[in-house]
Amino acid sequence: MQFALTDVPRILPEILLLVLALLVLGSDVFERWANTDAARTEQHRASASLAALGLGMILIIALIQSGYVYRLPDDAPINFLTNIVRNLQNGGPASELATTPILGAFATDDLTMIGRLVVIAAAFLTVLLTYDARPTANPGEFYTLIIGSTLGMCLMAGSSELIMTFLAIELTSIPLYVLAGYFRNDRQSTEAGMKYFLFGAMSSGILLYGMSLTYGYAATAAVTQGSTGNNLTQFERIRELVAQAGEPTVLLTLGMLFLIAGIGYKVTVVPFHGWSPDVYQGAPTPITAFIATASKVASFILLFRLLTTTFPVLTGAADVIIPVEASTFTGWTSLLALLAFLTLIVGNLAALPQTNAKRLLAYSSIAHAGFLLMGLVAWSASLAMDREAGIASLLYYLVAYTVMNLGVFGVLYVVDQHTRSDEISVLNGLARRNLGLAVLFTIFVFSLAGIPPLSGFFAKFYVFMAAWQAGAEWLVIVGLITTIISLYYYLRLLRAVFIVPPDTDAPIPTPRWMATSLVLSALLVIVLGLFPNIILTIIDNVQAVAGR
Amino acid sequence: MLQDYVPILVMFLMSLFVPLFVITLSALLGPRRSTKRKLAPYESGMDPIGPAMRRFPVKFYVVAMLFILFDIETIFFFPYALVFRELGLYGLGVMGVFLVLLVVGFVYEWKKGALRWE
Repeated sequence: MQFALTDVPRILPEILLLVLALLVLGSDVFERWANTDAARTEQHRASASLAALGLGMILIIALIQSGYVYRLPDDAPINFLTNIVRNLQNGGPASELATTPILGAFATDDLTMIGRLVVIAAAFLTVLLTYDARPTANPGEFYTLIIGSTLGMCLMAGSSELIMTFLAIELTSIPLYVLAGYFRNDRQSTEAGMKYFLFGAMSSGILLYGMSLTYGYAATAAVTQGSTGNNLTQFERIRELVAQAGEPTVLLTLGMLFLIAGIGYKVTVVPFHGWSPDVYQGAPTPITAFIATASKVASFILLFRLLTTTFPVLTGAADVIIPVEASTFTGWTSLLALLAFLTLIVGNLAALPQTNAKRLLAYSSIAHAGFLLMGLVAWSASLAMDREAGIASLLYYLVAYTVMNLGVFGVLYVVDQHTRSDEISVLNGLARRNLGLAVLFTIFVFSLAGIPPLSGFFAKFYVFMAAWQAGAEWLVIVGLITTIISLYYYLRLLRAVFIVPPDTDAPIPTPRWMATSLVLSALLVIVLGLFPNIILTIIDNVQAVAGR
Repeated sequence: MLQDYVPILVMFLMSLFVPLFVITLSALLGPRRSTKRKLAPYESGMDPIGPAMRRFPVKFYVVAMLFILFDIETIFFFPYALVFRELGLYGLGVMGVFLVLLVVGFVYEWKKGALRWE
């Protein structure tokens, strides 16, 4: 299997991201050194606008390629414009090329496409948020790191091979370590960068160990079955070998556990969540938004693909609450159900006493990881229809989660730009200081809390429904109770905004492009809530992938 | 089966013999006029014993990055030179992309002043 020229359009978004990253880096290098504040601002805006324009264009190209908005009919006339669209869509998820991964390592199916779109959109909104911000040092590097990390996330969403998975995770994480510690003179930011790096390195080690165990199983199985030793790292190949070997061994189960633990760090699942509150609090706010949304989306898609493609024999059932003995361990869904239970309880309870808004939202984002896991748990359902409902709910939740978190961190960023603090107390009287911002904040927080008709409500609703159908009723009840608990801390934020009087009545300005980014997020939150079918019809395509 | 490994055994013995031979030769024939400089482990003047948490110029990082850049280039180019003909145009294209990415990194370092040592 060799890389063919027809594969180029299939990875076009990734290629364009790489080119954009190099362009932004280059634009920084050939700039004159900025001495004055005005020059620094100009340099920052030049890099930001280049990055935002590029990401916006890539997003549009990816949207055309996906065919979700517009699908070129087969009998379309042949001219310059339709040729471009046709060539793009030939590399899209709907073409027959997409059924086999490129070199067995990178799948370009609907699952990848949705992941790509969400991740690139998140990067676009993040860059838009930073356009009007105080200029950063070396803006070109800042945006190059964001784009490089986005590229890694796209690769993560599509990777269907162990080595590719590891490389994609590293390409995502290493720029994020640097970005988390980007404010070198800020103690908290430096600490966040260092902590993120240490935990990330540890989790990479655990992930690699899991990979080596899985590979060891696959190689042993290949030798005993007398088949060739080729492609042993590909998910599909490992699944075939496992299926032929019959009973899975302890080695394979161990490998899977380590893989889940390694990715569990990235998606902040309790007990692997320890780093996230410190990192979320210390990192620059737009970077916190980016880490909390895009990297989680990519990691969840990767986790889903890895578990469902490689380990279908170890699926198990979700109705086991606690596996008391090793022999009662049935598979990954029961393990994930347990993790979801812990994540929901710890995330929601730990958020209650927080006084720092970013830290509170970090715990809220841990709690959301628990809800997301419930979508994965639904894979244990015996009916294919219920399993499909599980993946649909997971993907819908990921999209909704991304927009509302980007929004809520964005509002904090606007306030932070003005007051230079991210305690809850700086939100005091926000309604009086900037009503528009307060309204946007309310929309995002209501959506996070799961209040209808916003998208956060439907996301939770679908996830609960899928988990219930799959037989994890106990988990749904835990989810409902913790949702009610979460209302308390979300309403604390709103209490500060609307009820507590501020120290000053000085208005907080909202710069134009920050406002644009926030309004875009808010529109998505509302529209996805009112018309969830927009996303659900797209996700129907994925079920062809998931139904295997 | 086992005789396939004979060349490795020969190489092993050779690699044992050559350094032993050279060391013996220099011990027998070489003049011995040792000074303090000559007895130091490194001739660079670095003291090998001492605290590791010392301050040293940040420029060393940049040099290390440059080293990695060219090191990786060499690592990939030597095997490529061996299979240059077999891979044909495909290999040329792939290595071209690889080289472009490397050159961008190099230009970046250069423009950032990594090669200026004042």
